[in-house]
Amino acid sequence: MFGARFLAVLLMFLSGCGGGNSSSSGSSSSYSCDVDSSTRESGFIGDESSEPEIEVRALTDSGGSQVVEGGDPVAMQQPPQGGMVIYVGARARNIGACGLRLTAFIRDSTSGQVRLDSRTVNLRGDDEGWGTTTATDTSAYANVSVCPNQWSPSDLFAGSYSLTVELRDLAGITVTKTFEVSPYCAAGTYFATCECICRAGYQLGESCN
Amino acid sequence: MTRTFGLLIVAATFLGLLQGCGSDNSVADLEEPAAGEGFHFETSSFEVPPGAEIQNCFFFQVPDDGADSTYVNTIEVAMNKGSHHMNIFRVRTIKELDPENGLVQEARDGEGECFRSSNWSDWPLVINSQSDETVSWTLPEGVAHNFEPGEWLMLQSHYVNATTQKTPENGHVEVNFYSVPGENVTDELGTLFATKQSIRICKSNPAPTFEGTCQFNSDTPIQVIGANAHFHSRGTVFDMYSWDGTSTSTPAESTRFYQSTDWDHPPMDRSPDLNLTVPAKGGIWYTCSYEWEEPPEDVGCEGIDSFDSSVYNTPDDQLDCCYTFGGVVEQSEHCNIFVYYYPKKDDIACF
Repeated sequence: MFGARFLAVLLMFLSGCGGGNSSSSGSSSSYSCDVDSSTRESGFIGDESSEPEIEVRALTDSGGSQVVEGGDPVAMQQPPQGGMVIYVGARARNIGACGLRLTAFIRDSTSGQVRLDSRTVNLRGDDEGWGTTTATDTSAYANVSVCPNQWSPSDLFAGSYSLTVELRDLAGITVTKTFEVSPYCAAGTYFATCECICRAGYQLGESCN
Repeated sequence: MTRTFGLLIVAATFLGLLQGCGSDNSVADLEEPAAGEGFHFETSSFEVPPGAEIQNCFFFQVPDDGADSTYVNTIEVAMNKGSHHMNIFRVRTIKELDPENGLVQEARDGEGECFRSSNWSDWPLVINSQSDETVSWTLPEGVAHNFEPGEWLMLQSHYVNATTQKTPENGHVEVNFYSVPGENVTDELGTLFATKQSIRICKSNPAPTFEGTCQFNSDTPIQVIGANAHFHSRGTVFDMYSWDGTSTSTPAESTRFYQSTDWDHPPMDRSPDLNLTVPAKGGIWYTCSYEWEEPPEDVGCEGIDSFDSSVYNTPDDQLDCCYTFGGVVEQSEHCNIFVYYYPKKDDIACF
């Protein structure tokens, strides 16, 4: 384990993650990954001798971010191009903060079918020694596309689905959580559209009126 | 022998130059299908001024020849040089992009309803092209698009005449749809469109990869016979894999059936060369990778940040010279796949 973490630090140092500054006029080799000042040198958040920890977060329909645990509701929201996604992020420590792989997927337990989003993210350090995907940046959250529902035999908003979230840093240090969540259609402008395109059997282009 | 070889090289070079000149200024000009053999649509010829990105939406209808359906098994697409993309969709739910507001709806530099992708979010894909060359695709025997008489279609054409792409002539697109008798059709063609939303290629996260999945929703195996990927100039590698619908790690390299490493000339893989069986309840796994780069001097990080701030309301503390999700080539990025398959279960969209 120590060897892997040493490699993580080395890789981050070599890749420039954590080095330099975030001036917008610098070259591509001088970028920094936003971690707090105490960890900026290594790009590692937390204690390298401790096991990684993760707290799953999701964006709410009011624009904030909330901790998600087993049995919790999660909002399905309309992203720029249409459809509905669940925004899934993480708060973690004892893991590299730069260039992590964030993977989130939900699984229909009856069919086994999966919808997945995986992306490269950085964590931002907070005052408590954890790193978090930035709540106001939807690109720092997995955009798990769930609707149009052309994959699950159930209404997305009427049951529970298994949610798995994984963080893997550049050295391969990995932390995962899986539990059940209950997707719901976020209140507001797109509620009716959500209830239409997220129901079982929806066909692309059919009228939602 | 040496002299002959030298003359051949000179001749080849001359011919190459001629070909190069021809393709640089190629003008779309298709011979229309004969009466009873299909239908034709072409856009107007429109100017693409220096520095501009023009995205126009053209509405047209499938001719009503009295039959219940028009089955199309060959499509030809020709575009003047400089096109960034051309997509044709079947018109479904009308939002802010309405043919009643005009058969041609123009948009420029990210402004206008023809740039707002949520307007056509449930409009099934018909065909797409990103090639300067004329693309002619005849589907396998017995496979065809099924159009209703009078069905509305929308052709979206995006031309760029800026830093990343140049348009030497006016923008112009022509499309031929060749029909076959219904009794010759055994399977309808279906399409799948998927995109990674909310992507950002930022200075502090300069080599991101995005991965996604999309099922065909078919209880039986299907044949993938066409594939095309779309990203902008920061894109480095775009892969598509056959996927079983349930696994959660990147599929084995042996299941990769498509790769693009040239954002400006992505391959349009298609039958007969592409004929991939995807298992029942399976789908596509796709990945797109990027490399952040300095913006052109005349745009600068200030310009990129200004776009990010005004279009996406990104807070100041998150401005990081990011190329964000969107259709403007110079300042935005995409990660889109276009897949063609049969037998059709439904047209599929994964957002």
